[in-house]
Amino acid sequence: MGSFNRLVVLAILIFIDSYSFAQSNYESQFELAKNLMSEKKYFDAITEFKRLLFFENDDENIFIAYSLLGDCYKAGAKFDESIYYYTLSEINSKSSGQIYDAQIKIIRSNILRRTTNRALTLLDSLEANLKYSDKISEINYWRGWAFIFSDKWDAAADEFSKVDSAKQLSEFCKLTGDKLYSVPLVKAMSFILPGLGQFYTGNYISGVISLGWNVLWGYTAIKAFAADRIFDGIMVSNFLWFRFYRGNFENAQTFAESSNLLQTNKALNWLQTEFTGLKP
Amino acid sequence: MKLFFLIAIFTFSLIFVKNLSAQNEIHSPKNVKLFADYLFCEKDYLRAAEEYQKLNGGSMNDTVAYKIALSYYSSYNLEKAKESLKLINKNSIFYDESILESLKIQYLLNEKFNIEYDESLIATLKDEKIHSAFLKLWFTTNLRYPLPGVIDSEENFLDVFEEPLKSMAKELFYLRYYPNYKNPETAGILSAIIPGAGKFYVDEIGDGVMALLTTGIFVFLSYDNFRADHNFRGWLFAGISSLFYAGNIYGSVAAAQIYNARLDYDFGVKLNLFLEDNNFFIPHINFCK
Repeated sequence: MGSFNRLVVLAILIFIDSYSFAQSNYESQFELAKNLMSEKKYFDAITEFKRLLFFENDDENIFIAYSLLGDCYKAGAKFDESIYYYTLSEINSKSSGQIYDAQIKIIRSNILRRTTNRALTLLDSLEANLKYSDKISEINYWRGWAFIFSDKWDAAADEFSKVDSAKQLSEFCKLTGDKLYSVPLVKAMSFILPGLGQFYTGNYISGVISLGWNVLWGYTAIKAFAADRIFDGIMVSNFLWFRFYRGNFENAQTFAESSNLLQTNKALNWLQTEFTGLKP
Repeated sequence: MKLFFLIAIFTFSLIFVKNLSAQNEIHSPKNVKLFADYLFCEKDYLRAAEEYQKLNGGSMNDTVAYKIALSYYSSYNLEKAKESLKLINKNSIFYDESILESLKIQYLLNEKFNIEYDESLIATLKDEKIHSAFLKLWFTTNLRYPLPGVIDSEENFLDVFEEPLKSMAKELFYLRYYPNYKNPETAGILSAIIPGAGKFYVDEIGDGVMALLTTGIFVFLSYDNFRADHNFRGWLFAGISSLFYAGNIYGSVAAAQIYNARLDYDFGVKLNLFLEDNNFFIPHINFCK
Protein backbone atom coordinates (compact mmCIF):
# COMPACT_ATOMS: atom_id res chain seq x y z
CA MET A 1 0.00 0.00 0.00
CA GLY A 2 1.38 3.42 -0.99
CA SER A 3 1.74 6.35 1.41
CA PHE A 4 -1.21 8.10 -0.26
CA ASN A 5 -3.50 5.16 0.37
CA ARG A 6 -2.32 4.89 3.97
CA LEU A 7 -3.15 8.51 4.65
CA VAL A 8 -6.59 8.17 3.02
CA VAL A 9 -7.29 5.15 5.25
CA LEU A 10 -6.08 7.10 8.29
CA ALA A 11 -8.35 10.02 7.46
CA ILE A 12 -11.32 7.68 7.04
CA LEU A 13 -10.52 6.02 10.36
CA ILE A 14 -10.37 9.39 12.12
CA PHE A 15 -13.71 10.33 10.57
CA ILE A 16 -15.38 7.05 11.60
CA ASP A 17 -13.89 7.24 15.07
CA SER A 18 -15.09 10.79 15.63
CA TYR A 19 -18.56 9.92 14.37
CA SER A 20 -18.83 6.92 16.66
CA PHE A 21 -17.51 9.08 19.51
CA ALA A 22 -20.42 11.44 18.90
CA GLN A 23 -22.79 8.53 18.94
CA SER A 24 -21.40 7.12 22.18
CA ASN A 25 -21.60 10.58 23.77
CA TYR A 26 -25.34 10.78 23.11
CA GLU A 27 -25.79 7.18 24.17
CA SER A 28 -24.03 7.83 27.48
CA GLN A 29 -26.20 10.95 28.01
CA PHE A 30 -29.27 8.82 27.36
CA GLU A 31 -28.01 6.21 29.82
CA LEU A 32 -27.32 8.91 32.43
CA ALA A 33 -30.88 10.21 32.14
CA LYS A 34 -32.35 6.72 32.31
CA ASN A 35 -30.24 5.84 35.36
CA LEU A 36 -31.40 8.97 37.17
CA MET A 37 -34.95 8.02 36.34
CA SER A 38 -34.53 4.49 37.65
CA GLU A 39 -33.09 5.98 40.86
CA LYS A 40 -36.32 8.04 41.07
CA LYS A 41 -34.37 11.30 40.80
CA TYR A 42 -36.99 12.67 38.48
CA PHE A 43 -36.00 16.34 38.62
CA ASP A 44 -32.46 15.55 37.52
CA ALA A 45 -33.67 12.97 35.01
CA ILE A 46 -35.87 15.61 33.39
CA THR A 47 -32.90 17.98 33.13
CA GLU A 48 -30.76 15.31 31.47
CA PHE A 49 -33.51 14.23 29.06
CA LYS A 50 -34.04 17.85 28.12
CA ARG A 51 -30.29 18.28 27.60
CA LEU A 52 -30.25 15.18 25.43
CA LEU A 53 -33.15 16.43 23.35
CA PHE A 54 -31.58 19.89 23.04
CA PHE A 55 -28.39 18.44 21.54
CA GLU A 56 -29.88 15.27 20.05
CA ASN A 57 -29.54 14.61 16.34
CA ASP A 58 -30.50 10.96 16.38
CA ASP A 59 -34.13 10.46 15.33
CA GLU A 60 -34.30 7.00 16.87
CA ASN A 61 -34.02 8.26 20.44
CA ILE A 62 -36.37 11.23 20.22
CA PHE A 63 -39.62 9.28 20.62
CA ILE A 64 -38.30 7.33 23.62
CA ALA A 65 -36.72 10.40 25.22
CA TYR A 66 -39.94 12.43 25.01
CA SER A 67 -41.91 9.48 26.29
CA LEU A 68 -39.59 8.98 29.27
CA LEU A 69 -39.63 12.72 29.92
CA GLY A 70 -43.42 12.46 30.14
CA ASP A 71 -43.04 9.51 32.55
CA CYS A 72 -40.78 11.59 34.82
CA TYR A 73 -43.28 14.43 34.95
CA LYS A 74 -46.07 11.94 35.58
CA ALA A 75 -44.11 10.39 38.45
CA GLY A 76 -44.01 13.86 40.02
CA ALA A 77 -47.78 14.23 39.48
CA LYS A 78 -47.19 16.95 36.88
CA PHE A 79 -49.89 15.62 34.59
CA ASP A 80 -50.18 18.66 32.31
CA GLU A 81 -46.48 18.54 31.52
CA SER A 82 -46.53 14.76 31.12
CA ILE A 83 -49.33 15.03 28.54
CA TYR A 84 -47.36 17.75 26.73
CA TYR A 85 -44.29 15.52 26.39
CA TYR A 86 -46.32 12.41 25.51
CA THR A 87 -47.88 14.47 22.74
CA LEU A 88 -44.40 15.42 21.50
CA SER A 89 -43.45 11.74 21.58
CA GLU A 90 -46.56 10.97 19.50
CA ILE A 91 -45.55 13.66 17.00
CA ASN A 92 -42.09 12.07 16.74
CA SER A 93 -43.35 8.48 16.53
CA LYS A 94 -42.21 6.28 13.68
CA SER A 95 -44.88 3.58 13.67
CA SER A 96 -48.54 3.04 14.47
CA GLY A 97 -47.41 1.03 17.51
CA GLN A 98 -45.57 4.03 18.88
CA ILE A 99 -48.58 6.27 18.20
CA TYR A 100 -50.76 3.81 20.12
CA ASP A 101 -48.30 3.69 23.06
CA ALA A 102 -48.16 7.48 23.22
CA GLN A 103 -51.94 7.75 23.06
CA ILE A 104 -52.40 5.24 25.87
CA LYS A 105 -49.92 7.19 28.03
CA ILE A 106 -51.85 10.40 27.31
CA ILE A 107 -55.07 8.63 28.27
CA ARG A 108 -53.57 7.31 31.52
CA SER A 109 -52.40 10.81 32.50
CA ASN A 110 -55.86 12.16 31.69
CA ILE A 111 -57.40 9.51 33.93
CA LEU A 112 -55.14 10.52 36.81
CA ARG A 113 -55.75 14.21 36.13
CA ARG A 114 -59.48 13.35 36.28
CA THR A 115 -60.13 14.88 32.87
CA THR A 116 -62.26 11.82 32.30
CA ASN A 117 -64.19 13.11 29.31
CA ARG A 118 -60.94 13.72 27.44
CA ALA A 119 -59.72 10.22 28.33
CA LEU A 120 -62.99 8.66 27.14
CA THR A 121 -62.94 10.65 23.90
CA LEU A 122 -59.40 9.47 23.16
CA LEU A 123 -60.35 5.88 24.01
CA ASP A 124 -63.35 6.11 21.67
CA SER A 125 -61.17 7.37 18.84
CA LEU A 126 -58.67 4.54 19.42
CA GLU A 127 -61.51 2.02 19.40
CA ALA A 128 -62.85 3.44 16.15
CA ASN A 129 -59.44 3.09 14.49
CA LEU A 130 -59.33 -0.25 12.66
CA LYS A 131 -55.55 -0.41 13.05
CA TYR A 132 -56.06 -1.11 16.73
CA SER A 133 -58.85 -3.67 16.48
CA ASP A 134 -56.62 -6.18 18.33
CA LYS A 135 -56.30 -3.75 21.27
CA ILE A 136 -59.98 -3.60 22.21
CA SER A 137 -59.42 -5.41 25.51
CA GLU A 138 -56.77 -2.91 26.57
CA ILE A 139 -58.97 0.02 25.49
CA ASN A 140 -61.88 -1.36 27.57
CA TYR A 141 -59.50 -1.86 30.49
CA TRP A 142 -58.48 1.82 30.53
CA ARG A 143 -62.07 2.89 29.98
CA GLY A 144 -62.90 0.98 33.17
CA TRP A 145 -60.21 2.93 35.04
CA ALA A 146 -61.54 6.20 33.62
CA PHE A 147 -64.94 5.34 35.09
CA ILE A 148 -63.36 4.47 38.46
CA PHE A 149 -61.75 7.88 38.63
CA SER A 150 -65.05 9.57 37.85
CA ASP A 151 -66.85 7.61 40.58
CA LYS A 152 -68.91 5.51 38.14
CA TRP A 153 -68.21 2.16 39.72
CA ASP A 154 -71.02 0.24 38.02
CA ALA A 155 -69.95 1.48 34.58
CA ALA A 156 -66.37 0.51 35.47
CA ALA A 157 -67.52 -2.99 36.45
CA ASP A 158 -69.26 -3.33 33.06
CA GLU A 159 -66.12 -2.32 31.16
CA PHE A 160 -63.84 -4.65 33.15
CA SER A 161 -66.27 -7.54 32.63
CA LYS A 162 -65.46 -7.30 28.90
CA VAL A 163 -61.79 -8.00 29.64
CA ASP A 164 -60.88 -11.60 30.46
CA SER A 165 -57.93 -10.68 32.67
CA ALA A 166 -59.90 -8.09 34.67
CA LYS A 167 -62.73 -10.19 36.12
CA GLN A 168 -61.46 -9.65 39.67
CA LEU A 169 -61.41 -5.90 39.11
CA SER A 170 -64.93 -6.02 37.68
CA GLU A 171 -66.16 -7.86 40.78
CA PHE A 172 -64.41 -5.39 43.06
CA CYS A 173 -66.00 -2.40 41.28
CA LYS A 174 -69.41 -4.03 41.45
CA LEU A 175 -69.03 -4.60 45.20
CA THR A 176 -67.91 -1.01 45.72
CA GLY A 177 -70.81 0.29 43.63
CA ASP A 178 -73.25 -1.79 45.69
CA LYS A 179 -71.97 -0.22 48.92
CA LEU A 180 -72.72 3.31 47.73
CA TYR A 181 -75.96 5.08 48.68
CA SER A 182 -78.11 6.75 46.08
CA VAL A 183 -78.03 10.38 47.21
CA PRO A 184 -81.35 11.40 45.52
CA LEU A 185 -83.06 8.38 47.13
CA VAL A 186 -81.76 9.25 50.62
CA LYS A 187 -82.85 12.85 50.14
CA ALA A 188 -86.30 11.78 48.94
CA MET A 189 -86.72 9.49 51.97
CA SER A 190 -86.08 12.36 54.36
CA PHE A 191 -88.35 14.51 52.26
CA ILE A 192 -91.23 12.07 52.80
CA LEU A 193 -90.55 11.29 56.46
CA PRO A 194 -88.05 13.48 58.37
CA GLY A 195 -85.20 11.38 59.77
CA LEU A 196 -85.81 8.38 57.47
CA GLY A 197 -82.78 9.14 55.27
CA GLN A 198 -80.59 9.36 58.37
CA PHE A 199 -81.91 5.97 59.56
CA TYR A 200 -81.23 4.47 56.13
CA THR A 201 -77.60 5.65 56.24
CA GLY A 202 -77.19 4.28 59.79
CA ASN A 203 -77.25 7.62 61.65
CA TYR A 204 -80.02 6.69 64.11
CA ILE A 205 -79.50 9.42 66.75
CA SER A 206 -79.47 12.12 64.13
CA GLY A 207 -82.61 10.59 62.60
CA VAL A 208 -84.46 10.64 65.95
CA ILE A 209 -83.40 14.25 66.65
CA SER A 210 -84.45 15.35 63.19
CA LEU A 211 -87.82 13.65 63.54
CA GLY A 212 -88.25 15.18 67.03
CA TRP A 213 -87.64 18.75 65.88
CA ASN A 214 -90.01 18.41 62.97
CA VAL A 215 -92.77 16.89 65.13
CA LEU A 216 -92.37 19.65 67.73
CA TRP A 217 -92.50 22.58 65.28
CA GLY A 218 -95.09 20.90 63.07
CA TYR A 219 -97.33 20.37 66.07
CA THR A 220 -96.84 23.97 67.28
CA ALA A 221 -97.59 25.42 63.84
CA ILE A 222 -100.66 23.24 63.23
CA LYS A 223 -101.99 24.01 66.68
CA ALA A 224 -101.64 27.74 66.00
CA PHE A 225 -103.50 27.40 62.68
CA ALA A 226 -106.21 25.30 64.40
CA ALA A 227 -106.69 28.09 66.96
CA ASP A 228 -107.06 30.62 64.10
CA ARG A 229 -103.77 32.29 65.07
CA ILE A 230 -102.77 32.49 61.40
CA PHE A 231 -99.86 34.93 61.73
CA ASP A 232 -98.51 32.90 64.62
CA GLY A 233 -98.75 29.72 62.53
CA ILE A 234 -97.06 31.27 59.48
CA MET A 235 -94.15 32.57 61.56
CA VAL A 236 -93.58 29.23 63.32
CA SER A 237 -93.85 27.35 60.05
CA ASN A 238 -91.53 29.68 58.18
CA PHE A 239 -88.87 30.35 60.79
CA LEU A 240 -88.88 27.03 62.67
CA TRP A 241 -90.65 24.10 61.05
CA PHE A 242 -89.52 24.66 57.43
CA ARG A 243 -86.02 25.51 58.61
CA PHE A 244 -85.75 22.16 60.42
CA TYR A 245 -87.52 20.32 57.60
CA ARG A 246 -85.05 21.64 55.03
CA GLY A 247 -82.12 21.01 57.40
CA ASN A 248 -83.37 17.43 57.77
CA PHE A 249 -83.05 16.41 54.12
CA GLU A 250 -79.86 18.40 53.58
CA ASN A 251 -78.42 16.59 56.59
CA ALA A 252 -79.45 13.22 55.10
CA GLN A 253 -77.77 14.19 51.83
CA THR A 254 -74.54 15.07 53.69
CA PHE A 255 -74.55 11.70 55.46
CA ALA A 256 -75.03 9.83 52.19
CA GLU A 257 -72.29 11.82 50.43
CA SER A 258 -69.74 11.43 53.23
CA SER A 259 -70.47 7.71 53.53
CA ASN A 260 -69.98 7.35 49.75
CA LEU A 261 -66.74 9.30 49.94
CA LEU A 262 -65.50 7.01 52.69
CA GLN A 263 -66.30 3.92 50.63
CA THR A 264 -64.71 5.21 47.43
CA ASN A 265 -61.59 6.35 49.29
CA LYS A 266 -61.32 2.87 50.83
CA ALA A 267 -61.66 1.30 47.42
CA LEU A 268 -59.12 3.65 45.83
CA ASN A 269 -56.73 2.99 48.68
CA TRP A 270 -57.03 -0.75 48.10
CA LEU A 271 -56.41 -0.27 44.39
CA GLN A 272 -53.36 1.86 45.12
CA THR A 273 -51.76 -0.35 47.75
CA GLU A 274 -53.02 -3.92 47.20
CA PHE A 275 -53.97 -4.25 43.56
CA THR A 276 -51.02 -5.59 41.58
CA GLY A 277 -52.31 -5.25 38.02
CA LEU A 278 -51.74 -2.36 35.61
CA LYS A 279 -52.82 1.03 36.98
CA PRO A 280 -53.04 4.43 35.29
CA MET B 1 -1.57 17.40 -7.13
CA LYS B 2 -1.61 14.12 -5.27
CA LEU B 3 0.09 15.75 -2.31
CA PHE B 4 -2.33 18.69 -2.34
CA PHE B 5 -5.34 16.33 -2.35
CA LEU B 6 -3.81 14.33 0.49
CA ILE B 7 -3.20 17.40 2.66
CA ALA B 8 -6.71 18.64 1.95
CA ILE B 9 -8.31 15.34 3.08
CA PHE B 10 -6.19 15.23 6.22
CA THR B 11 -6.86 18.87 7.15
CA PHE B 12 -10.59 18.42 6.54
CA SER B 13 -10.64 15.32 8.78
CA LEU B 14 -8.82 17.10 11.60
CA ILE B 15 -11.11 20.15 11.48
CA PHE B 16 -14.15 17.91 11.35
CA VAL B 17 -12.94 15.86 14.34
CA LYS B 18 -12.21 19.03 16.30
CA ASN B 19 -15.65 20.46 15.62
CA LEU B 20 -17.37 17.23 16.34
CA SER B 21 -15.51 16.70 19.62
CA ALA B 22 -16.45 20.17 20.79
CA GLN B 23 -20.06 19.51 19.83
CA ASN B 24 -20.01 16.19 21.58
CA GLU B 25 -18.96 17.62 24.87
CA ILE B 26 -22.53 18.06 25.97
CA HIS B 27 -21.42 19.10 29.42
CA SER B 28 -18.75 21.57 28.28
CA PRO B 29 -19.17 25.08 29.72
CA LYS B 30 -20.13 26.45 26.31
CA ASN B 31 -22.88 23.84 25.89
CA VAL B 32 -24.03 24.17 29.50
CA LYS B 33 -24.54 27.87 28.86
CA LEU B 34 -26.35 27.18 25.59
CA PHE B 35 -28.61 24.69 27.36
CA ALA B 36 -29.19 27.05 30.29
CA ASP B 37 -30.18 29.83 27.87
CA TYR B 38 -32.60 27.43 26.22
CA LEU B 39 -34.15 26.47 29.57
CA PHE B 40 -34.35 30.14 30.57
CA CYS B 41 -36.26 31.03 27.42
CA GLU B 42 -38.47 27.96 27.84
CA LYS B 43 -39.34 29.40 31.28
CA ASP B 44 -37.94 26.33 33.04
CA TYR B 45 -36.31 28.73 35.45
CA LEU B 46 -35.27 26.45 38.28
CA ARG B 47 -33.31 24.18 35.96
CA ALA B 48 -31.90 27.21 34.14
CA ALA B 49 -30.59 28.60 37.45
CA GLU B 50 -28.96 25.29 38.31
CA GLU B 51 -27.30 25.08 34.89
CA TYR B 52 -26.02 28.67 35.07
CA GLN B 53 -24.57 27.93 38.48
CA LYS B 54 -22.45 25.16 37.01
CA LEU B 55 -20.54 27.81 35.08
CA ASN B 56 -17.46 29.19 36.71
CA GLY B 57 -14.18 30.87 35.85
CA GLY B 58 -14.22 32.42 32.40
CA SER B 59 -17.76 31.35 31.66
CA MET B 60 -19.21 33.22 34.65
CA ASN B 61 -19.93 36.88 34.04
CA ASP B 62 -22.38 39.48 35.22
CA THR B 63 -24.92 38.54 32.51
CA VAL B 64 -24.95 34.97 33.84
CA ALA B 65 -25.13 36.23 37.45
CA TYR B 66 -28.08 38.45 36.57
CA LYS B 67 -29.79 35.59 34.72
CA ILE B 68 -29.34 33.35 37.78
CA ALA B 69 -31.07 35.99 39.89
CA LEU B 70 -33.87 36.39 37.33
CA SER B 71 -34.29 32.60 37.14
CA TYR B 72 -34.66 32.30 40.89
CA TYR B 73 -36.91 35.36 40.99
CA SER B 74 -39.16 33.91 38.26
CA SER B 75 -39.39 30.55 40.04
CA TYR B 76 -40.24 32.34 43.33
CA ASN B 77 -37.01 31.33 45.06
CA LEU B 78 -36.83 34.89 46.29
CA GLU B 79 -34.18 34.38 48.98
CA LYS B 80 -31.80 32.83 46.48
CA ALA B 81 -32.60 35.55 43.97
CA LYS B 82 -31.76 38.16 46.58
CA GLU B 83 -28.43 36.49 47.30
CA SER B 84 -27.59 36.29 43.61
CA LEU B 85 -28.33 39.97 43.07
CA LYS B 86 -25.81 40.88 45.75
CA LEU B 87 -23.07 39.45 43.52
CA ILE B 88 -23.63 42.14 40.90
CA ASN B 89 -21.26 44.99 41.57
CA LYS B 90 -21.57 48.68 40.89
CA ASN B 91 -19.53 48.54 37.69
CA SER B 92 -21.86 46.05 36.02
CA ILE B 93 -24.30 47.18 33.34
CA PHE B 94 -26.91 45.24 35.30
CA TYR B 95 -26.34 47.12 38.54
CA ASP B 96 -29.33 49.45 38.16
CA GLU B 97 -31.59 46.54 37.27
CA SER B 98 -30.28 44.57 40.23
CA ILE B 99 -31.23 47.36 42.64
CA LEU B 100 -34.72 47.50 41.15
CA GLU B 101 -35.08 43.72 41.34
CA SER B 102 -33.94 43.77 44.99
CA LEU B 103 -36.70 46.21 45.78
CA LYS B 104 -39.30 43.99 44.07
CA ILE B 105 -38.06 40.93 45.94
CA GLN B 106 -38.23 42.67 49.29
CA TYR B 107 -41.78 43.71 48.56
CA LEU B 108 -42.74 40.16 47.53
CA LEU B 109 -41.07 38.74 50.64
CA ASN B 110 -43.21 41.07 52.75
CA GLU B 111 -40.02 42.45 54.23
CA LYS B 112 -39.50 45.84 55.65
CA PHE B 113 -37.16 47.54 53.27
CA ASN B 114 -33.56 47.64 54.23
CA ILE B 115 -32.36 49.39 51.14
CA GLU B 116 -31.17 52.74 52.34
CA TYR B 117 -33.28 55.31 50.60
CA ASP B 118 -30.88 58.14 50.37
CA GLU B 119 -29.39 60.42 47.79
CA SER B 120 -26.30 58.26 47.40
CA LEU B 121 -28.33 55.22 46.31
CA ILE B 122 -30.43 57.24 43.90
CA ALA B 123 -27.26 58.78 42.55
CA THR B 124 -25.84 55.36 41.73
CA LEU B 125 -28.73 54.64 39.35
CA LYS B 126 -27.53 55.85 35.99
CA ASP B 127 -30.29 54.60 33.72
CA GLU B 128 -33.05 57.22 33.51
CA LYS B 129 -35.85 54.67 32.96
CA ILE B 130 -34.76 52.49 35.87
CA HIS B 131 -34.33 55.52 38.08
CA SER B 132 -37.93 56.53 37.41
CA ALA B 133 -39.22 52.93 37.81
CA PHE B 134 -37.32 52.60 41.07
CA LEU B 135 -38.87 55.75 42.51
CA LYS B 136 -42.39 54.68 41.51
CA LEU B 137 -41.93 51.24 42.98
CA TRP B 138 -40.24 52.61 46.08
CA PHE B 139 -43.03 55.04 46.84
CA THR B 140 -45.81 52.57 46.00
CA THR B 141 -44.34 49.81 48.15
CA ASN B 142 -43.91 52.32 50.96
CA LEU B 143 -47.67 52.61 51.02
CA ARG B 144 -47.77 49.05 52.29
CA TYR B 145 -44.68 49.07 54.51
CA PRO B 146 -44.19 52.72 55.36
CA LEU B 147 -40.74 53.89 56.38
CA PRO B 148 -40.48 57.14 58.30
CA GLY B 149 -39.85 60.18 56.15
CA VAL B 150 -40.44 58.57 52.76
CA ILE B 151 -44.02 59.68 52.12
CA ASP B 152 -44.53 62.89 54.06
CA SER B 153 -47.26 64.47 51.96
CA GLU B 154 -49.67 63.74 49.13
CA GLU B 155 -47.72 66.01 46.76
CA ASN B 156 -44.44 64.35 47.63
CA PHE B 157 -45.98 60.95 46.83
CA LEU B 158 -47.79 61.91 43.62
CA ASP B 159 -44.80 63.81 42.20
CA VAL B 160 -43.12 60.62 41.01
CA PHE B 161 -46.08 59.52 38.90
CA GLU B 162 -47.20 60.88 35.57
CA GLU B 163 -50.73 60.60 34.10
CA PRO B 164 -52.60 58.25 33.91
CA LEU B 165 -50.75 56.58 36.80
CA LYS B 166 -51.20 59.68 38.93
CA SER B 167 -54.97 59.29 39.39
CA MET B 168 -54.63 55.58 40.32
CA ALA B 169 -51.80 56.41 42.70
CA LYS B 170 -53.97 59.09 44.30
CA GLU B 171 -56.76 56.59 44.92
CA LEU B 172 -54.28 54.23 46.59
CA PHE B 173 -52.87 57.06 48.69
CA TYR B 174 -56.33 57.94 50.02
CA LEU B 175 -57.21 54.30 50.69
CA ARG B 176 -54.01 53.97 52.70
CA TYR B 177 -53.99 57.21 54.67
CA TYR B 178 -57.70 58.09 54.89
CA PRO B 179 -59.47 54.72 55.06
CA ASN B 180 -63.19 54.83 55.77
CA TYR B 181 -62.97 52.51 58.82
CA LYS B 182 -66.10 51.75 60.86
CA ASN B 183 -66.01 51.67 64.64
CA PRO B 184 -67.10 48.22 65.98
CA GLU B 185 -68.28 49.70 69.32
CA THR B 186 -70.49 52.22 67.51
CA ALA B 187 -71.99 49.41 65.41
CA GLY B 188 -72.75 47.38 68.57
CA ILE B 189 -74.36 50.30 70.40
CA LEU B 190 -76.49 51.25 67.39
CA SER B 191 -77.79 47.68 67.13
CA ALA B 192 -78.51 47.62 70.86
CA ILE B 193 -80.70 50.74 70.48
CA ILE B 194 -82.44 49.72 67.23
CA PRO B 195 -81.90 46.13 66.03
CA GLY B 196 -80.26 46.23 62.61
CA ALA B 197 -79.02 49.84 62.89
CA GLY B 198 -75.41 48.67 63.35
CA LYS B 199 -75.70 46.73 60.11
CA PHE B 200 -76.97 49.84 58.33
CA TYR B 201 -73.94 51.68 59.71
CA VAL B 202 -71.57 49.16 58.06
CA ASP B 203 -73.48 49.32 54.75
CA GLU B 204 -75.16 45.92 55.12
CA ILE B 205 -78.65 47.20 54.37
CA GLY B 206 -80.25 43.81 53.59
CA ASP B 207 -78.94 42.26 56.81
CA GLY B 208 -80.11 45.32 58.77
CA VAL B 209 -83.66 45.06 57.41
CA MET B 210 -83.75 41.31 58.11
CA ALA B 211 -82.47 41.80 61.69
CA LEU B 212 -85.07 44.49 62.36
CA LEU B 213 -87.89 42.38 60.92
CA THR B 214 -87.01 39.09 62.61
CA THR B 215 -86.38 40.63 66.01
CA GLY B 216 -89.56 42.72 65.67
CA ILE B 217 -91.70 39.77 64.59
CA PHE B 218 -90.55 37.51 67.44
CA VAL B 219 -91.00 40.25 70.01
CA PHE B 220 -94.50 40.79 68.67
CA LEU B 221 -95.24 37.03 68.71
CA SER B 222 -94.03 36.82 72.28
CA TYR B 223 -96.18 39.77 73.33
CA ASP B 224 -99.20 38.43 71.43
CA ASN B 225 -98.91 34.96 72.97
CA PHE B 226 -98.51 36.30 76.50
CA ARG B 227 -101.55 38.51 75.87
CA ALA B 228 -103.57 35.43 74.81
CA ASP B 229 -102.38 33.51 77.89
CA HIS B 230 -100.24 31.11 75.82
CA ASN B 231 -97.38 31.35 78.27
CA PHE B 232 -95.25 28.49 76.86
CA ARG B 233 -95.20 30.01 73.39
CA GLY B 234 -94.78 33.46 74.89
CA TRP B 235 -91.59 32.42 76.65
CA LEU B 236 -90.46 30.46 73.60
CA PHE B 237 -90.73 33.49 71.31
CA ALA B 238 -89.25 35.75 73.98
CA GLY B 239 -86.22 33.44 74.10
CA ILE B 240 -85.93 33.37 70.34
CA SER B 241 -86.24 37.15 70.06
CA SER B 242 -83.57 37.58 72.78
CA LEU B 243 -81.25 35.34 70.77
CA PHE B 244 -81.89 37.37 67.62
CA TYR B 245 -81.36 40.62 69.53
CA ALA B 246 -78.08 39.52 71.12
CA GLY B 247 -76.92 37.86 67.91
CA ASN B 248 -77.59 41.05 65.99
CA ILE B 249 -75.44 43.12 68.38
CA TYR B 250 -72.63 40.59 68.15
CA GLY B 251 -73.10 40.39 64.37
CA SER B 252 -72.90 44.16 64.00
CA VAL B 253 -69.61 44.35 65.93
CA ALA B 254 -68.23 41.49 63.81
CA ALA B 255 -69.53 43.12 60.62
CA ALA B 256 -67.65 46.34 61.44
CA GLN B 257 -64.45 44.36 62.02
CA ILE B 258 -64.98 42.46 58.78
CA TYR B 259 -65.67 45.74 56.98
CA ASN B 260 -62.35 47.15 58.19
CA ALA B 261 -60.47 43.97 57.32
CA ARG B 262 -62.05 44.07 53.87
CA LEU B 263 -60.87 47.64 53.39
CA ASP B 264 -57.31 46.57 54.22
CA TYR B 265 -57.60 43.55 51.95
CA ASP B 266 -59.02 45.60 49.08
CA PHE B 267 -56.19 48.06 49.48
CA GLY B 268 -53.66 45.19 49.20
CA VAL B 269 -55.41 43.78 46.12
CA LYS B 270 -55.60 47.20 44.46
CA LEU B 271 -51.95 47.87 45.24
CA ASN B 272 -50.90 44.54 43.72
CA LEU B 273 -53.08 45.14 40.66
CA PHE B 274 -51.57 48.58 40.27
CA LEU B 275 -48.07 47.11 40.38
CA GLU B 276 -48.91 44.23 38.04
CA ASP B 277 -51.03 46.14 35.53
CA ASN B 278 -48.30 48.69 35.09
CA ASN B 279 -45.64 46.01 34.64
CA PHE B 280 -43.70 47.07 37.74
CA PHE B 281 -42.59 43.45 38.17
CA ILE B 282 -41.55 42.69 34.59
CA PRO B 283 -37.76 42.81 34.10
CA HIS B 284 -36.74 45.57 31.71
CA ILE B 285 -34.33 43.38 29.76
CA ASN B 286 -35.70 40.64 27.52
CA PHE B 287 -33.02 38.00 26.95
CA CYS B 288 -35.27 35.82 24.78
CA LYS B 289 -36.13 38.05 21.85
